[in-house]
Amino acid sequence: MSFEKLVGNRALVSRLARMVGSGRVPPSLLFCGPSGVGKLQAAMTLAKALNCSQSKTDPCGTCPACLRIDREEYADVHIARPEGAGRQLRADAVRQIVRETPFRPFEGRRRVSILIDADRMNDAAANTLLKTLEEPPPWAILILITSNAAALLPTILSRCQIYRFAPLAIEELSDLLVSDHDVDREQATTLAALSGGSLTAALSYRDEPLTDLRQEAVRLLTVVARGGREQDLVPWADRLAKDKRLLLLLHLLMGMARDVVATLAGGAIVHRDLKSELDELSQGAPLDAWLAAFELTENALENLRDRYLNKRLTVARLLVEMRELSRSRQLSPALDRQ
Amino acid sequence: MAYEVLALKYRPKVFEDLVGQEAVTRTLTNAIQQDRIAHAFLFAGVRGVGKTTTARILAKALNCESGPTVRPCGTCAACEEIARGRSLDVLEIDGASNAGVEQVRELIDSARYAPSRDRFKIYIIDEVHMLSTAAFNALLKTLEEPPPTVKFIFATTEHHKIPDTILSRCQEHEFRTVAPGEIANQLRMIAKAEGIEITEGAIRTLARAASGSMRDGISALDQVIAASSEKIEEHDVTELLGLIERDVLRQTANALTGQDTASILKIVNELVRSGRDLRNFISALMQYFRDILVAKVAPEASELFELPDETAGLEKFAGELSEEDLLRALELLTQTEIALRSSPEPRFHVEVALLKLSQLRKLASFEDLLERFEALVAGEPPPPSSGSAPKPAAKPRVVAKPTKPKTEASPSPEAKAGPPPQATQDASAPDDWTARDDFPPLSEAEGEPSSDFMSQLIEQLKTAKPMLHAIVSRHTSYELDGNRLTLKFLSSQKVLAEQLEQKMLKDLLEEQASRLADRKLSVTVRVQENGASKDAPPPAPIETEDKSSEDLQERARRDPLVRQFIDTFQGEIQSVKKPEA
Repeated sequence: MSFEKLVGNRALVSRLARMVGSGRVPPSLLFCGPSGVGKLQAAMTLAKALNCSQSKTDPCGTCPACLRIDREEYADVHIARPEGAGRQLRADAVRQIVRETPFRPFEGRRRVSILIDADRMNDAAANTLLKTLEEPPPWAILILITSNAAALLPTILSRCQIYRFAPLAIEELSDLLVSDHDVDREQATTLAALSGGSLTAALSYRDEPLTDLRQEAVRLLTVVARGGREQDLVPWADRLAKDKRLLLLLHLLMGMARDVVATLAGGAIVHRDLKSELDELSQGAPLDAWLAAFELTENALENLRDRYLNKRLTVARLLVEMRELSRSRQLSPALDRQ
Repeated sequence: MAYEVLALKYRPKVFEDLVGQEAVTRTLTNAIQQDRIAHAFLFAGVRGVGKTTTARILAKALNCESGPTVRPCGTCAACEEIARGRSLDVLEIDGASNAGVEQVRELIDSARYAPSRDRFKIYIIDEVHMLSTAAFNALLKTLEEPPPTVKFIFATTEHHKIPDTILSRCQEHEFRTVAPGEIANQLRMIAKAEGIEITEGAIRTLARAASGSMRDGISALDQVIAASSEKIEEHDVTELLGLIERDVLRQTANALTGQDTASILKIVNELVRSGRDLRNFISALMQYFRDILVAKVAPEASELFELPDETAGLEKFAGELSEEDLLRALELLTQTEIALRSSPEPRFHVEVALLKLSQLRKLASFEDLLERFEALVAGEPPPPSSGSAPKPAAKPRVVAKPTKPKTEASPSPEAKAGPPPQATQDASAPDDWTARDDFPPLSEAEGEPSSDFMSQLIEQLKTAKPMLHAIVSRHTSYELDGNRLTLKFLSSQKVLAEQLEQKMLKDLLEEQASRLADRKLSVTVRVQENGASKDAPPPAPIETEDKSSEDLQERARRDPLVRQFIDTFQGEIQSVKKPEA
């Protein structure tokens, strides 16, 4: 695959290509940006470009070297991934890279080491890497990939040239879903809009039947905004808490609350196909109540995801608190009139 | 393949070339000149300020054939080998990958042998903070009294992780961060040497982005050179480093102050599309607001500005925003920056936070509130010094919640019939500031004048004497007659009230009360013996057969909080009690 074929982040990718062309490839690179926007793809392409037997600037993708790099069989391109239950990039794997880097490449021109999720290194592993990152031998290239650059040691960041990847544009992503992942155009557009520009997120949504979940989220917001009663809300919360897609549902709720906020603030919304429902929710509603509603959902989501709070209580509390908002500030006065 | 990163290519080779570490170089050169060279050094400082570089120069200075000298020749065998990292007598060790006690023991063993050719055997241990405790301890004896031919140079970014026992055996050198001006000079020099055309603005931006680390600055320059073909402009730099342009910050501040919500969303959208890090954006915005604050409180002190370039825009905002606004904005931005780390949707979080920030301005300023409050106080019945205590106006109370006339206008969300609700109007009505609280306060008798003597006293006690506060706040009523303050308690609070009879507490209370009243007061405690109302929290309602109780019930029913109670617990109003007058 050549640089041309990479999806998204055009300016950045052409910078990489130019770098290869001019021979000024820095020995330590850091690719950061949200997950699922093509960082690994770009790193692999760079690795191929540096070792392709057909071309010295743009990888052909068909020569034995390119093919074997793709299959991760190439001796001079090494990929380290986080593994195990803790999804840690193990110190052993990092040490292996540090040990091997001083050797000249076996078969290719450059020895490329790619560290996926470099933020998942512990302190010891990260420190091991410092000397190699700073003064690698002339044939070595290290590419660190992360979606959370802030979690890396400042000493690592300072030794790397940093390339920041942006989320994919909705059109880019939906084209990609259609062409490479067998998704029909309509669903692709919805998925692309929901994913926040991340292919990984879009694909994870693809496998969930989203339609019913999204309908449920809208219904929930509507009932809550109407000031639904405890005797309805609490059993509902109990039911939701048992659903294994609870986090996804909260994510959707959060997105929709944000969309109501965006509508009130005069911006574009994400759940475009639910525009009429969201418009109805936002009619005549005060912005600050919905800002608060968004924060409540976000909080609940974080509590469940990071702090493992009791699901039933968290969801019940969320619904009741949002209901309170609707009582004290009218989340949706328009609905009351009906 | 001849390409070498600039940071290495332009690594200083003699002490004079080191930038920004005058104190360190002066100490070291003096030590060499006077032949008072310590046997162990510790170089500490943040990333990329010259620790390893200094260590190597020092090694050369000590081992140079013409040395020990402050000007290593760089051409003799010793100097060359050190530069290439091949010297047998200068061992550069990566502390992080040789952290175990085993490796350190080997090192100690080898230290016993004389240098193979040069004057000293020098161990440079980089990232020394990663050594294990056992490894550090194994070093102690050797470090204290090394053979005369051995020198240790440690370098670390994390001074606090080094055990005290090691620190006390080393000569410590603190490397400071390099000033932006010094970084800029160096970058200018490198650009010239490389034949790169670059604008002054670009250089300055690079230097600032380096935040004190020379290597960061040079790496960034390297990256910009690789990315752009011709003359390097400031916007190349900001784009490449994902920095936030001044213009964007100004637009954001504009949108925030003008409550232009649509623009706020547009700005965030644009930032995300161009791949900017939102956390960078928030911290840049914090800097901007901080500069506005500086422009507001200390307009002359231009050296305090984080981004000193232009102050015109700042002054405009400084004029528009109050100090409270700015402090509140900064607080909210700080929270946002922290919350962003864990937010499931950073982009939404930033949007909502900024919209919230734009709404904050709608809040009345603190001075305003205070003014209004004082006006309220001024309109109240006589101050305590006039003699008799003002009696609290009789208000119908249900569960200690005053019925405020204004709530009559606010409809229940469940009202299916009747006139359409005026919620939005109610919420944004400028004089209705209490309605903007998140939730109506549950028990605070809010809206009641706290100008009367007792509430002032209680307020004062709250901070001054919490213990007294706890007791006194339970009183049901009081009388202030001349120099005598009588506190009445319910019989259910008898035990508490009796505490006040203790001399010590009473004296304290009298002292506090006298101070407030500005004259000598004596306190009497009286416990009411009617005992009728059992467990009710004070101020306890007392049953009255009011003729207007129908009317009261009607008013109570309209109170939103009461409605909520009735809804939630499926209750009904049986009677309405008036607080004791």
